[in-house]
Amino acid sequence: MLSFDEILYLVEKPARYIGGEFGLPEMKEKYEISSCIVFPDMYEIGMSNLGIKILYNIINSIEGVVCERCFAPWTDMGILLKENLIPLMSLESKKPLKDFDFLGFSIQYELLFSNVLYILDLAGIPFKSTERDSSFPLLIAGGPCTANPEPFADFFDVICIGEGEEVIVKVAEILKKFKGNKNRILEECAIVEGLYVPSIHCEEGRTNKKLIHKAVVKDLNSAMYPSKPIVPNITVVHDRPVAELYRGCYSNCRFCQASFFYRPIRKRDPEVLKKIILEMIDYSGTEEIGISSLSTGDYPCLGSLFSILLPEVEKRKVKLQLPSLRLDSFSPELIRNTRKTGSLTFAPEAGTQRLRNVINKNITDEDIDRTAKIAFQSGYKSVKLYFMLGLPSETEDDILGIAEIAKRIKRIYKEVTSKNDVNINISSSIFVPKPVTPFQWARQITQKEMIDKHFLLRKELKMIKGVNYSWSDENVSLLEGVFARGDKRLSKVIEEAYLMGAKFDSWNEHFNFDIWKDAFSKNNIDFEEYTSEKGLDDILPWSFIDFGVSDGYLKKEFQKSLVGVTTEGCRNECKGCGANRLGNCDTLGG
Amino acid sequence: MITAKFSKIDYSRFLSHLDLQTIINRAIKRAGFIINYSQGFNPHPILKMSPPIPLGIKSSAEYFTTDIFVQDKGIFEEKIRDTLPKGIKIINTWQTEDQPKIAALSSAIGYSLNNLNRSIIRNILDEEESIISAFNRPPEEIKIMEDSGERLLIILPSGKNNIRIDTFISVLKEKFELSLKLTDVEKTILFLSHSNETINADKYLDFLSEKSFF
Repeated sequence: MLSFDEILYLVEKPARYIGGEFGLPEMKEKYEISSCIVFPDMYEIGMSNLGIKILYNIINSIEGVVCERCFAPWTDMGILLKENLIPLMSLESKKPLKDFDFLGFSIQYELLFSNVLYILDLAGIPFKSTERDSSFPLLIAGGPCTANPEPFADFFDVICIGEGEEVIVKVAEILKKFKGNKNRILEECAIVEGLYVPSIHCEEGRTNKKLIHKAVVKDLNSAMYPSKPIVPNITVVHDRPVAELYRGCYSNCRFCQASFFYRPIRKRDPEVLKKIILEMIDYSGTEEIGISSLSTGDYPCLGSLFSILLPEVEKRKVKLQLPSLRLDSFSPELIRNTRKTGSLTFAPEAGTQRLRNVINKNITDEDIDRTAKIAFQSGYKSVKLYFMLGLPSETEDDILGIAEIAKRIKRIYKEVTSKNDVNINISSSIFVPKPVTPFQWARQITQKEMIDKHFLLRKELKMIKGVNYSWSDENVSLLEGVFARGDKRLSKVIEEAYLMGAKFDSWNEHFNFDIWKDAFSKNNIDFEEYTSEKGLDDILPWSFIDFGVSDGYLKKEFQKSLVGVTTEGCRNECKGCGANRLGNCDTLGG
Repeated sequence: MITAKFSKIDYSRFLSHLDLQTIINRAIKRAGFIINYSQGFNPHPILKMSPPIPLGIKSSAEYFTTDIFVQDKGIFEEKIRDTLPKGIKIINTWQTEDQPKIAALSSAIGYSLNNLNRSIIRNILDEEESIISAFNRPPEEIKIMEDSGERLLIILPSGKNNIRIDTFISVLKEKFELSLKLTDVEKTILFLSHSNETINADKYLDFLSEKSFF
């Protein structure tokens, strides 16, 4: 048997497991409640996630409560832990997960479900809520996948629907009062807004009645922000601290779950952001700083933020990195002020104006051309374009339209630079109908259709020199679609698949579709039940949750999509989605 | 120029050479110092490190040199103390006019083997000759000495004729069936070859900083 210290010599990148990074808060020595945030993917992914940084900070600031972290150990480490009978531990104090009072799982992506079980297995914690008594930690789930928590609901005691910042404080207080009495804890959690307790809210014969209301932070300006973040010791995926401009989205893209899930729109004021960003730069010492939101170009105060920020940022020799901006929000000034060595990233999502109208991606060909021209004039040589295949009503023309865009961009580059050395990278993903969007009733295309569409686009793009094309895996896309709109029956499938060896499904080298096929067929469940079109009056697995946005609004948007009618963004006028019932929505801001 | 000698203990011994470079650069910036950047197409902060050691080996003799200006090296020591991750501690600093050539001059590394019992120490010292001959090197390149307490001092060549300490330990474990653990190894001295002499890097830095200011 080897000790934990000894197995560190045998694994790839042991620094993933050591903790001790700069920026750790002073860990309280005396506390009533201990908690651990668990991210079911590896350290490098988890430490790039803003949500867990926010929650980690908040929980550690609660009196009498400590919070540590745990990430999914890579498979080499997982095997060694099991072989040497070492239970999975937290990074900070190397305490076994099963010894904490509560574990907060962040569920970011459908393909991480098997990793939740991988972590529970390594920690020696039974998978199902009903199999765990008061001696085990309380398991709470949160994150974007809670838009439809049913596929993984059986594994958790409590699920936080929406934003966890304020809810987690209430959970900690409940735990302080009723520690050791799981039933009482669940009863108390069940009456907190935003908390779904499957064992209590799971009555037979669900209707469209809203049992749970999404949790929302009312005011971002006064909300706690991790402006003194932990700085990882190793290079992580997003190796820079990030400031969140606003939550929600001013655009109304009909496929986008985040846009509807994170409403109402709430923004941070430029002065608040300036303070956060400068503190982050000075505290972290990193070379780059990021700003983040669903559509940065739509932030109404971008101009004033940049004018108060840029001189200070330049003085500190730090690069300000912007995420992909919406085409229609580029201004020449903005392009000049961002880095030019990278590549320009657009997401037109569809190849023709007709289809862009259907999905309400309000970008025109002229927008694309104009932006490309400005970008090339300011020195860009490389363009990344993101598209979706399999969108509702898509035809061959829409796919060929993607190649047309690539050709036009090539031509524009030649006109601007008289050269042919432009790099165009096109990647496509398969459209997944997601809960809480106007397309939640739509059909997902079959694998056969996926293969055909990939073939067609590949053939077209091959003929254009300088274009690279990458596409998403058909099996992965199918599973995403199944889990996105899955129901409670899928927890059995997830468990079956894990026991047959599924883990790290979001990693190519570990994804094994045969396991999943077996797991579904063993449970007599057809993929198609989930990917097929739904009736507008069907009771959907997530129908019991009130997300703010009303079902009526989503239906109206779905019907408009069928006839290709667009809906403007929310910046100038409220479109009446209903999310402002949950809090002030900043539709007229700036 | 400031050169710092630092230790890499506890779990920080698992930080790689490359990661340490980023960590130190950031720590210097957090401490509020402005590092001079290299010239050229892709300017980067000037930072020189002592040669890398295998991942997982503790050390109390690591060095970095950075191009910053400070009035008093004491201020540097004080400020950077709070900006490094756990396990990395500054032991000493030197301020010099010229850039010390630590990596280029390094010729040997001294490792302590701790937590040994008397019989293992005896065993190794008895086998010294055959251990050294197992590496097919001139005998003067490898030294095994008894150190105070229950430990040994091993000196291995660094630079182009480098013998890795983890290789050395595994040979001892396999060929001589000794029970040794990498957790018990610590790099304690860096030797430099300077003017045909082998000297402790600390001595060289003392000499260089005196030359600069007297």
